[in-house]
Amino acid sequence: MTRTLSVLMLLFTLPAAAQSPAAKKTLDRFEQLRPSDADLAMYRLDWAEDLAEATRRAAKEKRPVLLIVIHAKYGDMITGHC
Amino acid sequence: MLKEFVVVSWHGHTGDAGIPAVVNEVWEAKRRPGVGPGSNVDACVLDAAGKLVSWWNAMAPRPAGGRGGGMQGDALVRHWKDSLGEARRSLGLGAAGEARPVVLPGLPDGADSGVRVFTRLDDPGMPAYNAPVVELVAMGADAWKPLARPAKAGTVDAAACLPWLSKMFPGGVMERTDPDTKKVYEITGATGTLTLEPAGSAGESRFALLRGRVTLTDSGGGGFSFSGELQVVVEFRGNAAVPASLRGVFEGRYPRKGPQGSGGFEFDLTGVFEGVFAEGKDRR
Repeated sequence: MTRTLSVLMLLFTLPAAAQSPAAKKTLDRFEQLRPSDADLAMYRLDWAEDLAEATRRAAKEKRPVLLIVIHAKYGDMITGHC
Repeated sequence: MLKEFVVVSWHGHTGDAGIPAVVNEVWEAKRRPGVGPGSNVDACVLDAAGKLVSWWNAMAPRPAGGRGGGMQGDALVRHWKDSLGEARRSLGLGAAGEARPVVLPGLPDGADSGVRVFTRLDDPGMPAYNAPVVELVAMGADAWKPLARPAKAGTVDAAACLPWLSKMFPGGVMERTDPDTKKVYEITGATGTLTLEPAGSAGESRFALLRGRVTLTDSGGGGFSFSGELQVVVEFRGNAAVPASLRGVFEGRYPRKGPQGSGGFEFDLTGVFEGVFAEGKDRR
């Protein structure tokens, strides 16, 4: 009996469906497609805009540099939108 | 293994003006008999003073007996782990600690809201395109106006959403890059009639749904365009003009050609949009 009352009370305190079915579907799709941290490993790296900035920061912060050299006319990796 | 490192990329051709000394040093080493050529991408580790500590070909040739092309899969991972481990030892770094947290592009100074755009191209021949590209577009009051809370269903010209749709293109697409400036062509056009309609409420929150088909064009011309379905949920609190949250997706197809203009393919292009507000991730 207590269990039944608890369930009924919980049902009455829940808000009504927040979004329309179409909006709910959109939000579900958003959750499916938004990249997880595992997908975003590139954004775990501490990127510098260019080599001059990287070496300046390395000297100031006493840190090593990983430099990726691309022998090509294209290859700006800073945003990936190269 | 890269927690302590500042990471940067450089690209250019032999004979270009202003090639950094360290790049010439690596390319000279690569030309020595028995070393190269490997792929056109190399990784270099420099110490805090900028001195070259070690370098390796990013996609070294496959071991003897393997079929043509560079390393892939587990062999490539081992190649990088071994090379980085050696560099760490040379630098006197201890065991690799926990990785840095993910830090996504945030609001620039002075901006109090924006839309973060994640894009991904599913090109089965190029797994690198599956890695999401993330960019943030700062939004002022005018940019939010087309998404103002609707009292009833109406339409929105897709062009009004161009500020944040302008980042809806895949990364690394060489054929959509200016051959002279090497700058990527910008998305300059958005066409389509979208619907914006009330989509429910909860407490003080009111929701609106923006959806419809969008066609995007870029500054490169040539009749190039691509299209997809856009659907975005916008949340408002009270009578606020600026949304409290924005979450949405774009699902379309992106045409590609080979480097010499050959071939013709279409791949799934996916975008995810999320509102970013100065107070936090959003105002939900």
